[in-house]
Amino acid sequence: MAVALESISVTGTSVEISGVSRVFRVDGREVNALRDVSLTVRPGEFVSLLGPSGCGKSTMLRIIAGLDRPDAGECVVDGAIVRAPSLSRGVVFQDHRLLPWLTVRENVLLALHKAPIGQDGREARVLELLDLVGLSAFAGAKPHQLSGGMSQRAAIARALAPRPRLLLLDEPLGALDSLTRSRLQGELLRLWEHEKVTVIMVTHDVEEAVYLSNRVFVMEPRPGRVRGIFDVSIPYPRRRVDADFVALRQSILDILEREATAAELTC
Amino acid sequence: MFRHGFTLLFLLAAWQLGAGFGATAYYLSTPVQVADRLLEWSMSGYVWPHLLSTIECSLAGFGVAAFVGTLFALAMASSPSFARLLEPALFAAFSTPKIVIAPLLILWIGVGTLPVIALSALSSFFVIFYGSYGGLRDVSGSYIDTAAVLGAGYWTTAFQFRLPAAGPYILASLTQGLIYAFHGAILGEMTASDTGMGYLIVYSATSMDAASVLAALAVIGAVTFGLLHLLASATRALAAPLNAEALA
Repeated sequence: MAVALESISVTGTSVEISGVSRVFRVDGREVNALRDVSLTVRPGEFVSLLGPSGCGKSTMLRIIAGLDRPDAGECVVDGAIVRAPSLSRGVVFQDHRLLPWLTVRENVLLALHKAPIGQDGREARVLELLDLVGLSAFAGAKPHQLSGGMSQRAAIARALAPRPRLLLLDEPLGALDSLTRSRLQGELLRLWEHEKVTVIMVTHDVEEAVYLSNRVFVMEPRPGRVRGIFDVSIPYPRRRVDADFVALRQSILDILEREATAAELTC
Repeated sequence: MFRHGFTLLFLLAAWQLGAGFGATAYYLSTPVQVADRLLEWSMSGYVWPHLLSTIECSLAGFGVAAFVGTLFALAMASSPSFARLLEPALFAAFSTPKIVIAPLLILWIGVGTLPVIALSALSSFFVIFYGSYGGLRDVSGSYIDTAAVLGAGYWTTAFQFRLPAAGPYILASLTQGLIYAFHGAILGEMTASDTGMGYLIVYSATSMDAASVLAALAVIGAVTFGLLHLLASATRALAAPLNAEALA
């Protein structure tokens, strides 16, 4: 079931980031989290922002989400400049951030509090989503009763609830064990095909980026900027042991390695 | 528990024996006399209306303080500009001893249960307000971010995210607030009422009746002690689902 971008009816948004800079003041010193970053994401695309910590990839995601504002440049989603968070952009953080005092069902329901579909419509949508992420049996569970992977599934269901056209993932699988992680990577691909959204994922895992993305933006720190863009033309579903896969992973790793060495030399 | 009982017994014995010397019995009374007075009060029913009045006023004062206190705290935590506006006034009011307001209250609303409730509410309000405000203001930014990306507006963020997230702080401040409400009511009764435990103390003291003063204090102590225990278990039960997250 190879999915070419052209073959799916795209509902996802385009994202255009032009000349975005963001400076933080840390202990009296200025840190360039992002400097003059420009990148474009096409409707329905799955892209990764890949890089070591401190390269500004999470800041970039927060700016696209509308949780942070750039000091210079602008972020345009579907033709409109992002100024504040919107339900058309779903966000999944590394920690699941489910509300501990609500059940899984209530957590997802909360994301629908503005949906104009009536109480029955909301309940139906919640059941559909929990079914989609395989949590139907845990609708009544509290977050602390779930495993890490299950919590993250619930967080993904919550982010998808208002039918966003852009899904922003901030290292969503970063805190999971490797087995759960690779299973959820498969799940993410399935959800992406099912919901036909644009996905921007932040990760520091090269294999994850290559396994999931249409394109990988490799970023580097101090100041945060895009170092290189890799097209991943390997058809889905990908196999992590294929020669193409391994070769691409290696060339990205090489870039990151050179980056790290250069960073050490300048420090 | 056994050791506490033993200590109490020892102190009571020392008091009983020590009070026999000189004129100290006049000032200190004796445990036997105090116990005698307590028995007499409960048999004749003399103490019950006073105790009931104090408890009623405390609960009324606490109710007002709990509602207004958490509401103000939530509004100020949700809006920094509102907080900047009100903080100086609240701090000034907080630093004023509540008992000095009692004569003013009498001037404004006369004598009776109303000034007692007012003083009870006033004593309780600040404890509840400051305790809740700290917790509500410092709710983790990750909750607020989550609220924002889920499209929550001002009210939804305040009531569905901030309020439950600060639940343990609010519960703790309400616990303290109830004790302050009880003690505030007694202070009010001492100056502005002709019923209640506070009135009973003042009346007994002006009648040079040390045994009655001490008996009233014993009743107040027992009620406070009972309240604290009741609240501790209520807080534990209410906070259990919230703490479960932290323990997991």
